[in-house]
Amino acid sequence: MDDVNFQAWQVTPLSAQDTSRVRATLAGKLQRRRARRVRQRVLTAGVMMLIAGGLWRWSDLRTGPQLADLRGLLETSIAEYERQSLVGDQRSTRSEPLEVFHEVAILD
Amino acid sequence: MVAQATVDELAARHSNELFGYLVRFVGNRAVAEDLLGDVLVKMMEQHQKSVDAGFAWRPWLYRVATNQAISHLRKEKIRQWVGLDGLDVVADECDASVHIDAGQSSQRIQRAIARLSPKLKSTLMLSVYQGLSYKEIAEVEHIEVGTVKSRLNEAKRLVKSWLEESHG
Repeated sequence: MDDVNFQAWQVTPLSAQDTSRVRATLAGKLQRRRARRVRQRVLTAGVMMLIAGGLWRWSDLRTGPQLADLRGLLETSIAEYERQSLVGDQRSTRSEPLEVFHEVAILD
Repeated sequence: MVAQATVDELAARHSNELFGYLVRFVGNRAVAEDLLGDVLVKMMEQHQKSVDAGFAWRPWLYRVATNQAISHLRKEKIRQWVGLDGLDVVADECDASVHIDAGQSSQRIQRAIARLSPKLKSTLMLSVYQGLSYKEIAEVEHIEVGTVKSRLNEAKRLVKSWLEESHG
């Protein structure tokens, strides 16, 4: 298997000139990597802030005045239903409160 | 200052062997120089992380060099695929100075090795040209020693068959 003469392929080593060229590019490479890392951090922080803002807004919508309004509407409807049931008015009690319940369930 | 001296010492000790490895991997001296710079930058950054005194730099450096070379070849492949440049296959783009020291047989070996998959190529080169032990190669490539041996056999078998094919 080893009868292939791999050592026939030799590479000329780095000359002093090559070495100094490699060294010269190092500072630039380091600077670019640092700049890229700073950009990534800023971008990550921006995305995190956007996500946090979105979450805050979402939780505000869920627990804020809109839901309280709906809860109030629901309570009023239930009270009305009970009042009408008590006075024996059967005209509008069958469907109306159920519709309110249905709407609330969808919105919530 | 002490840390800087150690970085310089590491760079001086390993630059030439890493360069040889990279030139053979990518087939181009200018690209290999650029990749060597990237490896040295990573070495400096790793050094700043205050690694242990017994940190195994050699396998680590070869791992970084291999990843850089594979990443470069992958980008080249994409560039060729989308037609950004008119490069031929890696085997054909090797510049003359790479095989300046040898004749036709060197070029044939070079072309045969360039046809290997990156995994087989790195295993073969780490063993044949860089002189790493099976254990060291296993460490570089995060694989078992048994896998190193089988990859090496497969790489040598393929190179031999391609050389015979091209010979006649």
